[in-house]
Amino acid sequence: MLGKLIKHEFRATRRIMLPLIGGVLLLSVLAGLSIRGLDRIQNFGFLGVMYSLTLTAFFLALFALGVVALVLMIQRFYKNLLRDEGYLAMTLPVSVDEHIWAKLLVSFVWFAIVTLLSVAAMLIMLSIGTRMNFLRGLIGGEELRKILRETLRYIGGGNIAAFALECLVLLFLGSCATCLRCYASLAIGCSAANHKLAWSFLAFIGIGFVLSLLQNTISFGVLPNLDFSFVENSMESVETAVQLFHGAMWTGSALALIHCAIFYFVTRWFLKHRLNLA
Amino acid sequence: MDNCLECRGLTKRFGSVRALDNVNLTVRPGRVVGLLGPNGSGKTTLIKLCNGLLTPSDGAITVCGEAPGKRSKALVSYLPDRCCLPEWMSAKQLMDMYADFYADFDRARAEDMMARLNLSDKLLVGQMSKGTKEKVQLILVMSRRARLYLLDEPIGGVDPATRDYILETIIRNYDEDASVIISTHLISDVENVLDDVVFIRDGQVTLQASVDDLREQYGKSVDALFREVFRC
Repeated sequence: MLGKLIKHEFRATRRIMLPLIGGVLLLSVLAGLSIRGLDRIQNFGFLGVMYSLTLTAFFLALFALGVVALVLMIQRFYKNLLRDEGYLAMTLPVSVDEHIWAKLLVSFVWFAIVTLLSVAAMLIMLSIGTRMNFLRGLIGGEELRKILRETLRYIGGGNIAAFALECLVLLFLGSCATCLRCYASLAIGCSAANHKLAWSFLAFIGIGFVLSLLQNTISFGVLPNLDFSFVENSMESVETAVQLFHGAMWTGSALALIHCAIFYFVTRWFLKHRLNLA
Repeated sequence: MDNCLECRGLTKRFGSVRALDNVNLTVRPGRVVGLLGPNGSGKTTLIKLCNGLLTPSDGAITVCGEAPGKRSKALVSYLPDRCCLPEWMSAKQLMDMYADFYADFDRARAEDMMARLNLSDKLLVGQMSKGTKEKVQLILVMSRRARLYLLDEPIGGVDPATRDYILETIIRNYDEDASVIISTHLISDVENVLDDVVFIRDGQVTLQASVDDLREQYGKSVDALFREVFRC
């Protein structure tokens, strides 16, 4: 059933995301042409204004795309599970876990697409604007490839695949923690009889407060008693510094995983035991 | 065969308010039951508990032998007291969705009912009138071959012609082994289709009997008895 939920979730979200993605790609081409145009014109007249406006529109569209992906993640959970549509969704023969996972995975996929698309749109704009093939430059340019390889070798400590995996895991868990924090806040807030969104917002702030309280307790209460001389020692050579960096990446992932687990179980408990569709 | 619904000491509290108080109720297969009571008497709360949309504070509830959950939801067809269909979906997409999630969804039956009402399956829910939305929702619900149909105020707020259509659709489409629970306070309209009635007041079941027994015992219609019992 999870697959079917994911299919319907994509159907519900793609009608908003796909036209926006198409618009951003079109604007990236127009922005590239505008850069070329700005380079050619003698007087900054009407054409200059139009070129500048196109460039501004492109950057605004890029920003808007990210915002829409975020808003859509929140809105789908709220409208589909906690408002009137919840009478349909929550009576489907699927478990609460499947509902949460479907929303979470589809949101993550859109976040990933938006991130990759933003990079691609910038490359398109620069390629057209400067008549350079940046993509080819990245892949085919020997000089650039060498620099990239060296950088990755340093950071990756010789294992680029492991470094890429670390980044992916951290990005995935970080995105999931953000989504689940929003879901938990909505699930808590919407269990109230009235002013559900206001309670959800308060729950979001409350979660932030509890998290910072925990962080401060750990920072001021536990960390000063620990021996951190290994950090200083690690900075003495590139290899040990890189090792420390990898340690920090995995620690970040572990923390994000703990956040995910807490927010997931809060969301699940409230949806199962405190669902209050008004 | 399991009873379609069994409640034992079922209680639901919202803070200090008891929306349902020690409800004991059994619905056998093949019955059309009227869940009758004034506004705020606990009808919707009981139906939500049957659907797993609420969890009981006390007592037990089983639907077709199952506690409310994923398995019971596959056996129950539920019509809520409001439109819950996403505005952006077309009737066709809704039928696709029902066919995906419910193994007992009879698509041919749904398409036939849609055709008889001259409803295009390309029409979006957002473009439909309130009455049309209610009809489409009812068509989807009654096109399932479910064990228990839970219909919350199916005829509230619609014109008399639509009311007749809705009642006719309900009676014509449920299977012999299934039961239908109709929650309403418009008794005179549903009285003729009911086998049993359950009177509910302030969260308590005050009467459960067959319509024939009631008529014989009190010598009056269910509507007249309801007006007498629930007089303000």
